[in-house]
Amino acid sequence: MGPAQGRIGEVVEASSRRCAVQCYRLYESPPLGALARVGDPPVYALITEVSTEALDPGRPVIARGEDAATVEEVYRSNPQLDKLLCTRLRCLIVGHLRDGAPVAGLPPLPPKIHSFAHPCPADEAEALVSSPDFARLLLNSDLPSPDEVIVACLRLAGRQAADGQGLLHRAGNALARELSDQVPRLNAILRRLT
Amino acid sequence: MSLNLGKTAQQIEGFAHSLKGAQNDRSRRLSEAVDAMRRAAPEEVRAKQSGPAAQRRFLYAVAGEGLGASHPPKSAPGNFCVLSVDGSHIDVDRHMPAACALVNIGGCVLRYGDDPDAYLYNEPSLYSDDRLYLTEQTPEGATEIPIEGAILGLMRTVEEVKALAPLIRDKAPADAPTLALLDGSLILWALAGQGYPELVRTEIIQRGLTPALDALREMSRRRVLALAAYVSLPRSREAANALRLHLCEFDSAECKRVCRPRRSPHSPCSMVNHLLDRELFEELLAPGQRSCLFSTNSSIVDEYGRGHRICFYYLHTGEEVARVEMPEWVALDKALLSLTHTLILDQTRRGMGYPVAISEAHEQAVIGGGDRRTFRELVDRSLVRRGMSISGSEKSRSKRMAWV
Repeated sequence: MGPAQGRIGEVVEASSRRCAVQCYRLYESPPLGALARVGDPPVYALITEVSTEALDPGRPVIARGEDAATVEEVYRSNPQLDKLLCTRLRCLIVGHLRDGAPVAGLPPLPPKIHSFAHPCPADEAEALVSSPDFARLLLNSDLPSPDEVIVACLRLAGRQAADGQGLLHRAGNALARELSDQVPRLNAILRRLT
Repeated sequence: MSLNLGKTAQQIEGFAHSLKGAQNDRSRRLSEAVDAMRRAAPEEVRAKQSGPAAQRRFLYAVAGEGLGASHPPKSAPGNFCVLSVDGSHIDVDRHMPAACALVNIGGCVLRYGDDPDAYLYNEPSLYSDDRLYLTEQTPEGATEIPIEGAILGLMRTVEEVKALAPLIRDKAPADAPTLALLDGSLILWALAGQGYPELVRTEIIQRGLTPALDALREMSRRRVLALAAYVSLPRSREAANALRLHLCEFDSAECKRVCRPRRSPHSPCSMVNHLLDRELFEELLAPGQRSCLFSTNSSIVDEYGRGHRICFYYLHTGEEVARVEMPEWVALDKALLSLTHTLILDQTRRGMGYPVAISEAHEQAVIGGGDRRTFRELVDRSLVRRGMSISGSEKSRSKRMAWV
């Protein structure tokens, strides 16, 4: 039986600015730059890093495939790996629901631990990504490579939106305002969006 | 005061020096013993073990064939299942504010083949109040024995065996050959001899282990199911002692008079002195091979019930020589015996030298230092919430705060 209602996983760490989600199934995670809707009341979390590691940090993962022809064979020969490894998402909290509408910015309270994470509906993702505050929040974050995450996020949102080009246009304008004094950086981002 | 490492190191040096001095003699005797194992004819071994000379002061393994016989593994079935259960416990601590113990049983089921899968679990169980005592009411009066220390360890072992049958029933596919693996020996050595009251033996064996083994044997009549226990780095001498008996030129009475249980002053059987079974089989077996099948003549297994006499063989995994034990109902079924050999070898290969199922069951069962402290805190908090005193012993407090 799969996770209920398309759930991705559960929050295992949370603060006002960040949260970590443990996926229910190994390697079954949304991609870098995807938005998740987390908890109730919902907050919006942007996936900034996807990692897979040992569930127990005290048990190092070792190489097992010297004699295996494929990676799949390694997993078939070691079925316990599915239960001993886990895929985790590091997320930046980028918005919340206010008066029934998604707004960019930090929520009053972080999501509870064990809150469920769902994929963010396309219309809510579009509303967030189009907001000038969204670009500002990301560019001012302490992410190690914010531009990569911005590009990944906008590309995904553009593909999912009913009017993808319009969305990218609005998001591009918001970035231009924030990066008016960093034209080469702005151009590098925009080039990758077209 | 800290340990005087200078004096300790001096003594260790002396000990290592004497070991080194004995090494050459040991190597020579090992080589002779291995040759003697290879030469030991099955009929001669059997004759000595069943004749009037069979009564000895030392435990020896009863061999069904030549002592030096070896068997290669068969190939593994396409689909199969290996499962294991292990346990860990927190013993009663009389310095704690309330008497209680915790037994944590962990297990895993690993399915290989067309539909690989894994199931891991653990289940803690608190022992408190009446559960902390073995009790018996007889016409002569009531007997009450606290379950702690070695008795708790034995109870835990029984719980591990008991946990296998429901795990197999609920989680192992009925149509796949299944190996149930336990860590350590199936022989309850601690109960051998007369150290424990009859009630302990009754509770552990007759009311615990035997019904658990019966349940597994019953299951094995309806599906392909083998039970085995894996002893890593075994220190047994039962097979070496079988050689000692085979070589002995004295009758039983003379042997009892002049020989010690652990060594003989007389040649040729003195060649076996202090040799371990695993040392002999490291020389006799190639990687992947198992030894001949032995059965133990330890008196404790006589109490296990019909069909549960413990048999064993040695297995060269490629990394070590391990001892594999199983009840007679597995050992006497050629297909099941072969299944234990094949699948344990397969498990050690997948587990980098140690059966992966046992390893994962252990990981599920183990209670780490942090969890032990948390357990104690949970007990304390629970008592405080109910307005009870949690004053532990002064000794316990003194150990935690070793002030100057």
